[in-house]
Amino acid sequence: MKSCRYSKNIIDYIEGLMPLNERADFESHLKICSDCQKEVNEIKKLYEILNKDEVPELNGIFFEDIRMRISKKEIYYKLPLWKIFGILVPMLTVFILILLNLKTEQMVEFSIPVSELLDDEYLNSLLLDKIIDKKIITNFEILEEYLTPTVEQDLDEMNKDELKVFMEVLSQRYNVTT
Amino acid sequence: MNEDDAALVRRFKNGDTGAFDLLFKKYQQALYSICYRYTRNEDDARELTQDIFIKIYHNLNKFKENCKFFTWVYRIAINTCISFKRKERPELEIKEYQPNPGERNIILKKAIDDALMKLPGRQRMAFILRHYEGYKFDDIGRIMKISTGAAKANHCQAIKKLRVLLKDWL
Repeated sequence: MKSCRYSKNIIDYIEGLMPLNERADFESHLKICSDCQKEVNEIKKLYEILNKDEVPELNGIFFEDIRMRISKKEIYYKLPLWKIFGILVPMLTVFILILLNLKTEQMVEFSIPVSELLDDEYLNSLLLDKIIDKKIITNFEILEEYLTPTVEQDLDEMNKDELKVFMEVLSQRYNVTT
Repeated sequence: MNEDDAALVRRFKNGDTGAFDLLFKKYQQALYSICYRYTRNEDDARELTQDIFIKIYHNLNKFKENCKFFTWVYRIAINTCISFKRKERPELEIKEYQPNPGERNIILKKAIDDALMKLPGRQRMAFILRHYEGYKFDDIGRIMKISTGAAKANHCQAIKKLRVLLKDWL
């Protein structure tokens, strides 16, 4: 069914929101349009029904009780769970990140016998010169398992500077701070 | 901002808790009515009214006077209502009754309850604020933080749906 072009203004008409000039126009139309008449009557009837709907009476004691309890702070605002998580989760994340950061920045104490870490004299000297730290040695030890004899041989033949470059490449590749 | 409300809010901010009592009394019935019309349940409405006043009390010191106090209060109320999760309650079985005229009103009330509860939250709230509270659409827009046009559209949609849902009564 094709709806009347006036139908979208019917609520405005019933609620008295239609400008006066349009209202006169609409009322003339209403006399001849049965669809709009039907719609106006239905909406008016709907309003009539809905106006019968009443809010149950509440005794004043209910309000007095809440007011007193709020004023005396017997009941107070509880943060909703999502808000609590919204605050706690970022705080915990920051705390954990700070802890992790502190841990990674901790330098190796050189009181540990270097010889126990590796026998390589170049590495030992790098350690003693504080060019590398314990972490890189640990990483190196892990990597060592994967080193081929050829690479090991190459390492043995490296001088101090070459070894330093090698360690830097390793550290960049495995994201280890030197 | 309504002058009386503004003065009361300032008094509260200056430590006069008695000012809150006056604001409470002024808005208690209106807020309860909105909660009841939204939830269609007295227990839920009481619970919501209490929550709303606790939020108002807790946040009143933070209220900036850049909008009307009633807009701020109603905004708290509608947000609390819309985010409220209705508790499951047993449905009142009335289909078996052969209603006499007195019971007809009870059945009509139940039909209105069901119809309103079938509306989406924002449409229901726009309809309540317009039809029962008599607010203009620009006020409803401000309260619901939507445009005037959107407030009007929500209200129109609500009426369209109510016409369908209550067609047996029209």
